[in-house]
Amino acid sequence: MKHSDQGPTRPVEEKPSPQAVAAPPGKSSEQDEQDVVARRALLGLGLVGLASLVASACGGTAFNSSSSNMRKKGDKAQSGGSTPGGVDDPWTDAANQCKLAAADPTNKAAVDACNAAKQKAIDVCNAAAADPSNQDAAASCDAAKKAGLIGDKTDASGPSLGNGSDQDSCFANTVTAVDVDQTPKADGDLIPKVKFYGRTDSALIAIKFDSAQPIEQVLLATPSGKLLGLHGITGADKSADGKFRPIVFDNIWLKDGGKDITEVRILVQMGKAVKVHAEPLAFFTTYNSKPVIDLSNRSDMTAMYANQSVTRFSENGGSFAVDRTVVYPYNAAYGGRDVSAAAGDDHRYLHTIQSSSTLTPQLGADAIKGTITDIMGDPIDLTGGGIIEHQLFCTYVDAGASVVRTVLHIG
Amino acid sequence: MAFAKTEIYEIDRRKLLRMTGTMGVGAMFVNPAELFAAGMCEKVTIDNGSIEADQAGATLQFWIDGLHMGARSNIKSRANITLFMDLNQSAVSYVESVVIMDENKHTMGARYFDASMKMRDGHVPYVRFENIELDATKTYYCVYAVRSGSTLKLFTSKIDKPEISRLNTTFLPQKMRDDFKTFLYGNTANPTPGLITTQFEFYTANGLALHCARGRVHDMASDGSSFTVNIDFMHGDVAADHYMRYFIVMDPVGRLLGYHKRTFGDGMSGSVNVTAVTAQQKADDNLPDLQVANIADCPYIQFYTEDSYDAIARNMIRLR
Repeated sequence: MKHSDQGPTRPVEEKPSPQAVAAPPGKSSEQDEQDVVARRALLGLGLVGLASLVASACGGTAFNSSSSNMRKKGDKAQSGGSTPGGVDDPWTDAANQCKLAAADPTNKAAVDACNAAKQKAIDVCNAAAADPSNQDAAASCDAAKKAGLIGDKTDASGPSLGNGSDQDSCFANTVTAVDVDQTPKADGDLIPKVKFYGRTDSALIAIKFDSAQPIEQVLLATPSGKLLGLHGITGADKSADGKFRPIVFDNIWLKDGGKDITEVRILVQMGKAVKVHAEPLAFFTTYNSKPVIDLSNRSDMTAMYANQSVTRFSENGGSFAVDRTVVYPYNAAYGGRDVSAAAGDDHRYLHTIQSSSTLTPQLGADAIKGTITDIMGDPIDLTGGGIIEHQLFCTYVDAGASVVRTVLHIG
Repeated sequence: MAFAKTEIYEIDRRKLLRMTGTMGVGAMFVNPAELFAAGMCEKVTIDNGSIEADQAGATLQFWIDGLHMGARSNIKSRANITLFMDLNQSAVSYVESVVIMDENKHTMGARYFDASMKMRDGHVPYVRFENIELDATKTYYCVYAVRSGSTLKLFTSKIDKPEISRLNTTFLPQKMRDDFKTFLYGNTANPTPGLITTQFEFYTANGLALHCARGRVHDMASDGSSFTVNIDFMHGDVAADHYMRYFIVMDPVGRLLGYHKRTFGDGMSGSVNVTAVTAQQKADDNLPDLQVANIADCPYIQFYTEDSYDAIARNMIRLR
């Protein structure tokens, strides 16, 4: 990112042509379409998510593989035919790496090479933009653009929507096909367990898959297809036994156009395949057949306060890593105390949790009360290393006619 | 709280549409910097006399917690990150998406909004990404896309080498900063690096159970106009330089909700009730409005207690 020295704002040099922004055939609401498309695109979706949805909806038709190409499949720049320097041109080589990376995102060497080349292209073009007299940079930038490493403003017409090509018609279909109803339904172990907490203007949704399938992204959408959230699967999503941990979407507005929705669509993306699950919106408001009091509904704060759990653990000595080297800085400049003089020991003894660390939950008053469950409502054991796995958990205390729930979060 | 300066780009949404038409399977996020370099959008220069660096959106405030200990632990990173941007939702201009991506531009999470989704004061809601793997040596990017008619403004922030957020002095009221300057921890360059005790990391050999923050919500108005959070003493007062001094309640990114400062020998014991920041406190401590949050907007709160000697402890209470 080297744009901070670019100086005053640059004017927009080119406006999109009417043709370029024309609505696809048969579409009566360009704006709606754009909403959906832009939303899915810009937002990260555009990325793997949108592409996958598109591919799925179009029977596997794939778009160009690199976002940076910003050209239609078949453009001569991508074919290499117009690239100066032929295959020996470094930009062309880099573009080929990008194609390899797009074809196989697990090809780390290609991905790294592609990203490095793109960044280099950005730097070169920035240099050219910053110094119009730098002809070398300009030429290199131009070559990078022609190789498809970076967008070319001279090619700003780009692919238009609905111009009749297979790709564009597919894309146009996608705009409506993002309609979740046209996505294959989830089945088998791709049907998640779902819990809703909170309220429609700030909900926590916990989703658990009992699946070993290679899920890459999980998307949350309204029944009309408007996206609410996306969770990209990372190494944090699986426990040591290879099972998926609960996926948590926090502070989500379960609304569409300001109105409460009655169900959510959960899209599960695996490679080019996307499956959708429809889950009725039902807040987790009963436990053991009794109504739940919690801090979201605050229906009985007297009972809530009396039965609220407090996170409190004791460490089991020797199971934590202890930093015995770092010492307290003596902040004499601010009148601080000299610990080494006062206590004869100025070491911090910073304790940090390890996979083998164990703690003991403190139970009862001013501590943890009642039945302890994970965020999916299943009882768990927090002794030993339990809290390492369950950073987010709940307690339920029977309060007679109701049950008090405290949602606890460690970290 | 951590801050990240934003870079702002502007693009015609229709232009973006055309580009997205070429995205394919395995494609990655179009970094606004890339768009700019290609001449496909313009950059809004901050600090050029017309747009001030401290204006809305100039800074992203974020907080990282969870199991994210870097080289100090053999547990894989399972971080949570919460974002807050000073951007308001209105019918004519609103944040329609927020995305976090890694340096390879792979999307780790995204949230989507319409104009009706907002905090009580009109701000875009807190964006919370749970349980994501962050690499403490790498760089991540957040992009807020603000739609205004046919134009998109892309507020881009870089989070470099993410680490657990700490209670440092940079965003605290000056009086609190002055107090913390004499705190045991700290040095000249950074008087209070914010050494926080949680169940995952603690700076005392005196026992975690007696040096953890313990609190509970007593009451809370539905509009957030009032609340009481009862916070226990970690331990009894020991001496004039070792007593339970500060009790602080913050929003998810470290903006103040309420705080109470004790004086040694004030007769209090056991616990302290912390209530919403008052107008008097705001005036006395020169708190800007933006640094005072509304508890009703918070999916959870974080709270701290400090013993003026060797421990600042943090914990969270979920409100949903």
